[in-house]
Amino acid sequence: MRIKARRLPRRSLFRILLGVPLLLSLGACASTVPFYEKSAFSDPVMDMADQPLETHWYAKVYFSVEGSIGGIGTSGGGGCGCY
Amino acid sequence: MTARAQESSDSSGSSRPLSNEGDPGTGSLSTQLGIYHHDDDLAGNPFLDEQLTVIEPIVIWDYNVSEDFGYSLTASYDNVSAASIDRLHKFPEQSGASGDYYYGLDFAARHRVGDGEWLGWLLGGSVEYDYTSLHFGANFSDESADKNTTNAFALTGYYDTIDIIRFDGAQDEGTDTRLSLAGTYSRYAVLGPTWASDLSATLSFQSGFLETAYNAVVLEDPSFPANPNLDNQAQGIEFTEELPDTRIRAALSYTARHYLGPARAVELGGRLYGDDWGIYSVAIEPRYYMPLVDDKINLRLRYRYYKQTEADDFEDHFLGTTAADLPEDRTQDAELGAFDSHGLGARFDLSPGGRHAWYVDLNYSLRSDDLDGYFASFGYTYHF
Repeated sequence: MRIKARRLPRRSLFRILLGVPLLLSLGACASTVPFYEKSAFSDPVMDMADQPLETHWYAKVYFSVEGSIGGIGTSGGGGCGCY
Repeated sequence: MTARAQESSDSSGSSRPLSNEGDPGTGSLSTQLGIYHHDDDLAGNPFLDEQLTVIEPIVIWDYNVSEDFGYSLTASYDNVSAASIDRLHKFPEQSGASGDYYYGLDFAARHRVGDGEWLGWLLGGSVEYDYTSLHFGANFSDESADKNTTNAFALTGYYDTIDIIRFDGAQDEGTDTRLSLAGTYSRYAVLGPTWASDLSATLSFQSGFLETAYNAVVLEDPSFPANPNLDNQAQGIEFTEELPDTRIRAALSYTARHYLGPARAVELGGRLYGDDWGIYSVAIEPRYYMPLVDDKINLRLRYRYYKQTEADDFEDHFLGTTAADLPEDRTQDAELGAFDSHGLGARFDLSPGGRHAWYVDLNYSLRSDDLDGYFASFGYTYHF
């Protein structure tokens, strides 16, 4: 395997990683909602779980045309690596 | 797609394991036909015809073996028609890109390990004309007793082997490998009686052959003759694309959904991304859910704005007369360039009752570099 040295833009990465806990704090804002106030959540429209077929297809489409999608699968670089 | 879904590379790579949603012995069989197409017309990379059509049938079998164990099996096939493949026929000395087929198979299992706690693992593989890929991963999710929060962690990996076939058909470099690892933390939270949110953070690392083997860059100079292999007949000579052999990516996404009434909700999702190749991107996606026919047909409308910066090694033009005039790392891949896009989508869910569910999803994307495209999917699920 060829390995080419490359200097990482550490400052930029640092900014991104610094933002992680800030955004995580947004998700931590869950309130304690008693079950009798959650009737809305019995409606399927509030189901935020993955839809496997859609997830698969959208990921494949965006992953073939955008440089920031994918990268954890069979496309090494950006874009049309898959096709 | 929710922003979280963008961090999932495929159906079995979900950031958190699905829990059993039915009794033992129940399950579902889901099928989908996906179609994606974009034309070129000198859009994107002007030297290259990037016309592309993908047709993908996919089948997912999901089964609840017991209250504590379930599994899914995913099989997919891609039929690809691309200008890069056509070139193989016009110019036998050139590569046929990735070829015109793809087969993928994934197995994912889920185990209940405690109250509200599920552990999942997955194993899969895929084969294309010029690569094979081994796919593996594990995930864990923990739902709170009051079901107001779910925390999930996922680790996903790919090990790819690539046959290096260059734009001119050269294969003297043999094969190379690529390792991709990603870790994702996600948190679902009920924010109030009518509000829920989903947060996801992904960090991924890649090492190995990260170029697209058949990609080329064009060295241009007025002294060169017009090159008939280039889509725009430019006066230039093609050289291989060269990119770094490591890449670190980070992505954060957040989605909040608000219940408005029966089958009616509004959602806003966003995603921030950055990597050490110099690409930064932002995506914003509002959605609106509404019933068309009560308890029968629901509609989901969505808009997606996406903007990315170009990679440090991307250039529209490389000027010079010898290879020495090219930088060590270089690319003209349009997907590593700067652009923005506006996407519109409408999904119709049909639930006539009983065990059957259908949907049609139609999407169109307008890009600033004119690589506009549409994609659609048609799906059916049978619950048993």
